[in-house]
Amino acid sequence: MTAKPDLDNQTWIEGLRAGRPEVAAALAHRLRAGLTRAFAGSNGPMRSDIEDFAQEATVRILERLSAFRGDSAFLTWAMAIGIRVSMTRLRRDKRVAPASRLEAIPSSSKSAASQDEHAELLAVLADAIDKDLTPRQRETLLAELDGVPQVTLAERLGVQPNALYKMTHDARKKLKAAIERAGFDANSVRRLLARA
Amino acid sequence: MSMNSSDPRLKALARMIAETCDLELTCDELLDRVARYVETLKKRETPDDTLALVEKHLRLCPECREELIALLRAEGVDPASVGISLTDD
Repeated sequence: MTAKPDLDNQTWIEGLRAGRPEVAAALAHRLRAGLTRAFAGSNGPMRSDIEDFAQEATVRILERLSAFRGDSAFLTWAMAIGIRVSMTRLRRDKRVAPASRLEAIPSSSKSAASQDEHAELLAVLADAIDKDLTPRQRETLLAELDGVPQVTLAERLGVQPNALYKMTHDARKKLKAAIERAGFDANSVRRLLARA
Repeated sequence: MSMNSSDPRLKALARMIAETCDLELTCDELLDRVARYVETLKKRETPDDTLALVEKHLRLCPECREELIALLRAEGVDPASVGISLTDD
C-alpha cells in the first residue's frame, strides 16, 4: 500500500493501533519522503541513514501514539518525531554542527550611553554564575552555551533530556532572580542587549 | 570557574534569561505541539495565544529551532518564506 494524502487522523491512529502492517509501511514511506526533503542538499544523512531514521521513527511514533493531541494532521506530528529521531542521531554522531546559542547574538560596538549599564549587567551575571549555581548547574548551562548537544550532555550526566532541561531552567531562574535583585528586569535586559 | 564579564557566552545567557519564565515547555512537550505551530505557519496565520509557549521555547532552544526548520522543509515549506531562521531576529 502506498500512503494516500487523504488518510485522516483516525485512519492512521486506528490502523497503527491495530498493528496493520500496510499502515505502518505507509507511515515509513511518508517519513522517508519527508526526511529526504528535510535533509536535501545538506552534508548530513545518506539514503541508508534515512531508511534507518524512518524505521526508528516509526517505532517511536508507535510508542508515543497516546501523546498525539489531535490538534494537527497526524502526519505532521509524526514527521516532527521523525526529525527529532534523525537530528538526535546526527548530533550524537557529531555529523551536524552544534546549534550554538552564540550565533544568535549579533556583535556590534556598544553605545556610550549604555556601556556602563551593560557591563554591570554582565558582571552581575558572571558573579551569580559563580555564587548562585551548583557546580552541576554551572557545568550544564555553560556546556549548552558552548553548543554541546543536549543528547551528549544528558548521556554525560546520566540524566534524561527532560531532566536536563529542568536543570538548566532552574539555573536560568536562579540567574534571573540574581539580576532582578541587582535592578535588571527582563525588559531592561532586552533593551541593553538591543543597544549593545 | 569564574567567567570574565567579556566572555561572549554571558551576552547569550543574558538574552536567554530575559526570556526565562516559570512556565516553559520541555523539548518533549514542544515535540507534541510543534506540528500545530507548523500548520499555522503554513497557513500564514498568526499563532494564537495557546502557541505562545511554543514560540518561547523556540526562542530559547536552538536545537528545537533547528528541528523546526528541518520539519518545515520536510513539509515542503521554505523556512525563510514564513520568517523562520536559525537566529531569532
